[in-house]
Amino acid sequence: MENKFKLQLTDIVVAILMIIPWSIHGGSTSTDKLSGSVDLTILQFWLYRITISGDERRVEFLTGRGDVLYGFFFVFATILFTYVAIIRIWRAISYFLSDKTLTRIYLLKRNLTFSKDDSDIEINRELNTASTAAALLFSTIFMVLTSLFAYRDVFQNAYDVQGVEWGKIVDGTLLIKYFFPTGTSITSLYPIAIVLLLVGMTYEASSDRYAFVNSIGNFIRFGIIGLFVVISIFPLIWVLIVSVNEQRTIQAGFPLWPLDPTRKLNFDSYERFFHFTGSWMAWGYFIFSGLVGFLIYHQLNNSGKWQDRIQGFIYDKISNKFGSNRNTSLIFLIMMLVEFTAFITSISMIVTQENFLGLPPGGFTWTLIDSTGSVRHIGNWFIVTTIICTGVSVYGLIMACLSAYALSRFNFPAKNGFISVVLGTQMFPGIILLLPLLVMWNELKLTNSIFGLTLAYATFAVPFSTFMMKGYFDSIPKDLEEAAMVDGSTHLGAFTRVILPISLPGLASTFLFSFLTGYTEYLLALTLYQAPEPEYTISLALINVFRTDLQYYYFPDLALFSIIVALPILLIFVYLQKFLIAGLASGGIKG
Amino acid sequence: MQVLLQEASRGDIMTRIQLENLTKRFGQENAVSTLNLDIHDGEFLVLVGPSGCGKSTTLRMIAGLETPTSGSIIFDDRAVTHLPPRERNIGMVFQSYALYPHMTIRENLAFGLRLKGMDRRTIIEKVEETAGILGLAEHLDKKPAQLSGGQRQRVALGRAIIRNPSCFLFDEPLSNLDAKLRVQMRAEIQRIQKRTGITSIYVTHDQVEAMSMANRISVMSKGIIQQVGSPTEVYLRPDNKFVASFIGSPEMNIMEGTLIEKDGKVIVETDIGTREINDKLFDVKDRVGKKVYLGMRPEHLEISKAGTFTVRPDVIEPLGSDTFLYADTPNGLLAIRHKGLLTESYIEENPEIQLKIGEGDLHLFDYETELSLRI
Repeated sequence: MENKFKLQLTDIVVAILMIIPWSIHGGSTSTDKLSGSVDLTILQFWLYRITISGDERRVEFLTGRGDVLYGFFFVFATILFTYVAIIRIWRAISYFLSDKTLTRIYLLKRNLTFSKDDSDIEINRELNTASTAAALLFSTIFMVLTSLFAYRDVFQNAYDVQGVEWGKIVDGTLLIKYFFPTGTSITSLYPIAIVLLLVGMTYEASSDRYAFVNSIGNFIRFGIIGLFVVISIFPLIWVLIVSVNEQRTIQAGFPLWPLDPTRKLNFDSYERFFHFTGSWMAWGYFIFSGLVGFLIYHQLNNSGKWQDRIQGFIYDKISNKFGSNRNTSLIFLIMMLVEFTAFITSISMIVTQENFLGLPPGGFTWTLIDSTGSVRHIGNWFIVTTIICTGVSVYGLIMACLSAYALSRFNFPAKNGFISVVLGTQMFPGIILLLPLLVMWNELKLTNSIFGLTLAYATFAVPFSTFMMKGYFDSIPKDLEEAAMVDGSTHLGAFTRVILPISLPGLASTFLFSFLTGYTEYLLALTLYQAPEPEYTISLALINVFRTDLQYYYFPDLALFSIIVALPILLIFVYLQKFLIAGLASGGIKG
Repeated sequence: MQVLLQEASRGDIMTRIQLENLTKRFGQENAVSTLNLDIHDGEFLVLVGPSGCGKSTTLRMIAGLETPTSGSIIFDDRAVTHLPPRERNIGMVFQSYALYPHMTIRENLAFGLRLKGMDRRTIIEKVEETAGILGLAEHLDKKPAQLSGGQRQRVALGRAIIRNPSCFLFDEPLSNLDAKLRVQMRAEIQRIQKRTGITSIYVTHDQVEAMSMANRISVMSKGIIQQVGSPTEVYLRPDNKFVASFIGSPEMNIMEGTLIEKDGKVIVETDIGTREINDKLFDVKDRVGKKVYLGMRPEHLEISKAGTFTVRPDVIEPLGSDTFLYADTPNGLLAIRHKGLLTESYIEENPEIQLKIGEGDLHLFDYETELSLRI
């Protein structure tokens, strides 16, 4: 068996995949009615200006250093993403088409005995891979769909300046709106979803076996069935909850723009998305949500038999409808083409720019002089943010580990109620806590302090981390710590010597989660932390420095800073990613 | 092995385990009820029973992984009922192996010794030695995931042996192995237990394992010990109907019958025939006219013209040395184990066969209490 702890190319690839979309939040467009020009950014990485004078439409690329690097970054990510998706899907397809699998399926059909031997482990592993691929694909499809919709929006508005509704000037202030918050949500949530999926990708194989013995087609087997099982695990549910509660889009309009802060931009965008794609998509989404709801119920009541029957019924129906291989390959081809088109487009965008290899002058300093000549305390922002994020992560991890272990292993009164409350906190939009937190923090004299902000972030990080770690601890057999206790260890010793080392993947992802919560958070920082420019957090700086000083975002600077912001996280990911590949706990227990 | 044997022969690590009125309640349910058991020094005791009978709970209580609701556990003269596992000096082998996945085999084996605070050189020596005994020497630097099921089981065994425990506890250690490996490991466990002479308690639901390995078998059902005795005792003189039907493969044939008196002799009358009962062997004198259960092991039934039972066999399973015959009776399936090979055509040639059984091979159980009527 290969050594899973060696840093491999794929580790780096997955790490990059996980971090890239994080920094690519939405896009925007701005219109200058006076000069009749429209500036466009798509996913904030390429920028060009369309000027309309009379009948002439002139497209101008705004060159700079940051945006070009940013573009490369994105192209690189696209290549790697496509590579990984293809490899994973190819492996899954070839596995499911191999003679060995067919034989195995045949045997399973014959005697219906699911003995636990090596080939079962193999099937399980391949199914994990397949599910990962399915999850990646799912994200891609959604990203591509939403991006396409965004393209359409942008271009429609670009060529119909009179009809622009969301780039108008009100009282002399330029009104900028994120045009596709759904895209934003998905791109920003997708990485954490992948992290969670990789970590939590341990599910019972019985339902897949059910799929085998019912001779369900290949696509269905690793696509729908994989997804079906995958979405039944917590992470994706969480992602769905968050995407509905997404408030980042509201942050963008609050409080600096004359936009109604209570306006549900994300619902608005869903509505527009469904309007564009037709009602079937809305229906699909509706049914999908229903399924997720059902699966939550199913997960919570795993003992029932009728749920199994319904699941079996669904599998049967699916297997009869779309079992053929030809459909499968066609669907993949189309998917790949869409992906490839996006890739080619971005390449052409990059290479047609002048000075596309331009690098920032002056080298590295703690401060940066931006295009307007102002000194920016980038180093300070990093230090402040790192202190806060490390504080949140360490505190969150310690609290989460202890409480999650207790929840996972011990029985005490009101345990299930407590778990429900912990999960329940995730259902509420964070924004509703804003005002209470502000009042409380004011009373406690915690506002405008790094400690106060850390504590505020921890209120969000701890419940989620607890839930995540509980899931991880649940997946570790109790036998292991019992063996350690029999070997002469105390219960605490068994926890620290055996359970914690095995939980490294879970710990790593929980740490990252907490870290990133702080790293990307803006709204709480804006509300609870009024600091002078040198003490900004990164997110405050990103919005406040590079936007309010100028009439609109000065994109080259912003883009450059975005890369600087993304790099440390990327490095952390590359290092910690090796722990994220599941399988650390495999082997120690029965196969 | 040398060191292990020497330490074992000192005798101080031998342990007598006494369970007194041991009870474990989960909620309202009694997993184990007032269990009394005395496990002698160096004995290999097998706890056997169907799943959910409380055998694993009993073992876990002995290990200290569960706290008894009441009763006490005594190692030699030391009450350990409320001591944590680490203070009991036991070696346990889990069904799932429970190897530490993040450690190499070497670290897995050394884990317990390191916790004991043993010096490095002794640890290295003992690890090498144990690995040698179990044939793991070349795998010491691998992780558990890189080993096969059988090898993992050996590591689990090694982890228990290396600590020179006062007793071995086995929790269905072989149930994850395939049939061939199971036989091998069975022999290995027996070999190690015999050499070290360490008191062992072995939990299994497989009565073949129980019969072949045990010095004594304790048959459990519904949290209660049904019978304790040597394998032969349990097989030949089952105390009740449950033990009779649980031990033995294929199962003992048990059918309802009525005791009647004829010519001064007690006779049991069943749907397939009658059989005279020796009242010196069975307590039947006061029970004439009452219903009883009649038990006959398939291997004790003999096809004979002089037989008193008549059945119509409908299935035949030639196994080579033996042949199984199955006959449908009003009381269910009746199995017969015939020594020697019968061909498929036997059933056609003999649509009806007579069976006889020795009087000592008969088992009679009370209809209500299901206890054996053997004197």
